[in-house]
Amino acid sequence: MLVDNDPERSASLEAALLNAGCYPIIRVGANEKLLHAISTHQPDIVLIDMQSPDRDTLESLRSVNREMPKPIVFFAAQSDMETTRAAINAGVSAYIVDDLPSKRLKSVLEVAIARFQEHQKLKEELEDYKIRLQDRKDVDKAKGILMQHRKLSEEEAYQLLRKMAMDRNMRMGEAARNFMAALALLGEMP
Amino acid sequence: MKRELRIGFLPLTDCAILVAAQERGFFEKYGLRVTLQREVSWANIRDRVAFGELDAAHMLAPMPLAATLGIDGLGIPMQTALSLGLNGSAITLSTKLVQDIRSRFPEHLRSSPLRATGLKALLTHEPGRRLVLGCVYPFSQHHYLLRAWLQDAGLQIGSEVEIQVIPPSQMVSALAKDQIDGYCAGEPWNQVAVQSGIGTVAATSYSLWNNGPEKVLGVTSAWAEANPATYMNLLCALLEAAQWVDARQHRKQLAALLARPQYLDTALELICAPLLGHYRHAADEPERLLPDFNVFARYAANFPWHSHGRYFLQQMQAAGQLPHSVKDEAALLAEVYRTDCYREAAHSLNLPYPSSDDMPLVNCTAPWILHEASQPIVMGSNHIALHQLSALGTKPVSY
Repeated sequence: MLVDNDPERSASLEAALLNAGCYPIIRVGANEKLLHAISTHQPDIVLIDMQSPDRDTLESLRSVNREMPKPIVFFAAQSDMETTRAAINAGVSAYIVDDLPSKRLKSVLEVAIARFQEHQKLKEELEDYKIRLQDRKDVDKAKGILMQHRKLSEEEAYQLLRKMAMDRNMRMGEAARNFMAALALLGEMP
Repeated sequence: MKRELRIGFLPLTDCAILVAAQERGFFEKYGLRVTLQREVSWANIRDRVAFGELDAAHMLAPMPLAATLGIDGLGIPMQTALSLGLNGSAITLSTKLVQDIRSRFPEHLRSSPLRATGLKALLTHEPGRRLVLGCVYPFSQHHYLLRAWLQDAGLQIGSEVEIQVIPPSQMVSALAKDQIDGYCAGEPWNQVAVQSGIGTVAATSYSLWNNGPEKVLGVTSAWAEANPATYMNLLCALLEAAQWVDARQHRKQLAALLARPQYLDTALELICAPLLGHYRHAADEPERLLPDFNVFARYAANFPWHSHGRYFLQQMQAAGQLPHSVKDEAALLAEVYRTDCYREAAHSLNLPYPSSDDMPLVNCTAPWILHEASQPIVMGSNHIALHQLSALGTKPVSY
């Protein structure tokens, strides 16, 4: 069972697990009744996104509510700290029902970790791309203001901004934003 | 010395000391560059601290003990040298349920703190009905308070009342959707339910145990051993922040800091009133004065009392969480509750500190003076209203 509010990641993990020979797979998304889903489907293993607050609820099945048909056991025995560490770094956690062979668990977990890491990388790349796009927009805007106010050519305005950024040890986008913020403070922004 | 630290917290009013240390420059004063990382579950806090992704964290008071005992998580030993405050939580029931009790068994609403006898009367008249109450984590003072409060009225946990773990942020919506009948949680979650009218506070944690334990700063024992100088600076920064946070004249400013989007991201008025000692139990009632609803430094609030640890061991056993008895209790408590580290930090700041590891007086109903200390310390009442919290069954208080 996959508990993940990110449908894209959840779908890609499902495909990878199917490929690795795991089936059937149940996906549980946001705001679905997790405990109900577990008692209905009785999964062998639950993989859960660490951004989901439901982890505490899931874990309590061991220590508060002893009436669930199958106890859910926290995943890693001390023997495999490295896999556990990798999972936590990737932001995925897993729970097994006690009789799942540990070798099988490890391979499932490795697939999950890889997918979560890949997703994380994509997200970072997207974030990076967004920042660069914003930087370019702000640099263009600052350049325009400089050209107008100081009667500079585009190249001169660019060089001026570049020097300002280098002197202050910041990215050009940041320098452009600082420049415009200073102008706004002086009431000179259009 | 390690200077860059990541410290985890859950968005609750009692992460106040951490937020003040960051925003008022106490971390900086001690050469620490801290990132406060908001988490969504106590399990995340536990695992990220266990694997070093977080250096330290805001934890429920019994968590370091449970981790060291190996009954919660992977059995990576943890410890605390600093409590992050006393009191600050409450048991809230659905207003509908309270009104039902008021109309049918009004005599059961005539006590303060309110006892759970009204719930018992309800179940006696409706055999087969089962109540569901939420708590935030199995290893929490909230869970133990809730159990004691229910048992005091003779309610059977399991058959008559089910206790379900629900993240604090989802308590109010679960109550609104009738998935639960009530819960025990920290602020702002009781005030959120009271303000919207769907919840009524039955008892504050203060009313059940005056100045009882709540949250602590937890680290792994391996981290503490590897970073002694950083640990000492961290404790000093937090002890100074605790003094700032505890002063009444700073509480409004504190509430404004906590309300910010990166921390609690909640309406200021819900956070502010309890911090100023004004606590509303029901939407149609005036606020009650509870000056000690949140205690962050006074009454030796930050000291990691071994007696608190001994109490948690009893509660874990009573709740069936600790199947075996502990062989060397004193050694375990000395390992988890680092009174030595606390004393060293307090001494360097010239703050008074207790010299005894256990609270020497129990069940005082009035303020008293702790003489077993580097300088006499003013203490508040430590009255415990429910015998389940101070002893197991008929066994007398052991600390």
